[in-house]
Amino acid sequence: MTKLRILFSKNGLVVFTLALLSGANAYADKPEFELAIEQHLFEPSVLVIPANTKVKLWVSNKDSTPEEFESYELNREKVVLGGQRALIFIGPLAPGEYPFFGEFNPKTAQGKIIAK
Amino acid sequence: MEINIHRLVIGFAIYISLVSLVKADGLAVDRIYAPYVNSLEKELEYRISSAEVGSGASNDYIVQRFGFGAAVNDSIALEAYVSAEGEGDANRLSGYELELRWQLSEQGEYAVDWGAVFEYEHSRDSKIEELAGKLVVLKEWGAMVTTANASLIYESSESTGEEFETALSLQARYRYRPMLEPALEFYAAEDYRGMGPVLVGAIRLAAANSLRWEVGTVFGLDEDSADYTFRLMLEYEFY
Repeated sequence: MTKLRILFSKNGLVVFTLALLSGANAYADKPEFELAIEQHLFEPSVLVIPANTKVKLWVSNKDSTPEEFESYELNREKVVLGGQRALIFIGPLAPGEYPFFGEFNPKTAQGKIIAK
Repeated sequence: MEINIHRLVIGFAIYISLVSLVKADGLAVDRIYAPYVNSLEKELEYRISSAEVGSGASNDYIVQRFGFGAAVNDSIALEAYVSAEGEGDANRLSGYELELRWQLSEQGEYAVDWGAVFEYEHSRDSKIEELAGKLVVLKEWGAMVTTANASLIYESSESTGEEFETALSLQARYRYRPMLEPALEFYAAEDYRGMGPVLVGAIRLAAANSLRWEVGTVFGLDEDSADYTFRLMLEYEFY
């Protein structure tokens, strides 16, 4: 849990009080999921993850060109260079469907995450 | 990104706490940074802040900036600006600014997202050199996003000598839809306290390009502060 308290007084005194900074690796053991980009398509295009749980999503770009995983609903935007892998932290999400797409190939690279 | 965030934050907090006076010259109302950097991203940016009528502030003081920036990798971005500022008008080049943005944690990795901004500013007209370090903290609360920028500024000026300044800006933004995200902003610096509404939005253009804007008016909260300050930012992002 991370707590940062900012106290600000009228005469201009700024004091940062850090109450507790611990548990930075709290998400290290969260469920992991894989998503691949190949020929400008997401595989799988539908990914089911547990609701109300923070998960790690590994996105592997098997194409030689970069792609951007983007979703306004998930509030995530991440460029994955060609031939590389990127980690995206998602959630915890309420049950529902969350579309995503590849910004560089939006007509083909589309998918959705279902949280349930 | 393996960064000892605890030490960084604690060090920054102690450092800024030692500077007892909140103090910042010029216009406190400006862009509030998010902590994110995206690989390959480039941007052209235009910002203007215009402060109107305040007993303790400059009347009709305008600051304009035009910049070009690019990401170096997935955590560092560099940007260079030219600026124009003055009372009544700001039509001639008055300085330049170099900026480094550093994403310290992955989005959603921790309870809050961390970043830092370092700036060097040279004002040709007023012969001021300024170095600034800014801690950027962002927390998501569902559709609500809160962001804090806490700045420690070193300024060297022919007229006032050397001094340290601090400033704080806060934003609460509701992610209603991509083109329209209403926000409330608060700014504090020496002789300035202000709060006001801002509209934020972005529109997607062809070829993965986008145009982002922020526009709002921040109202002074005490008699030392400018009555109101208009601010606008236009940012064209491309790859």
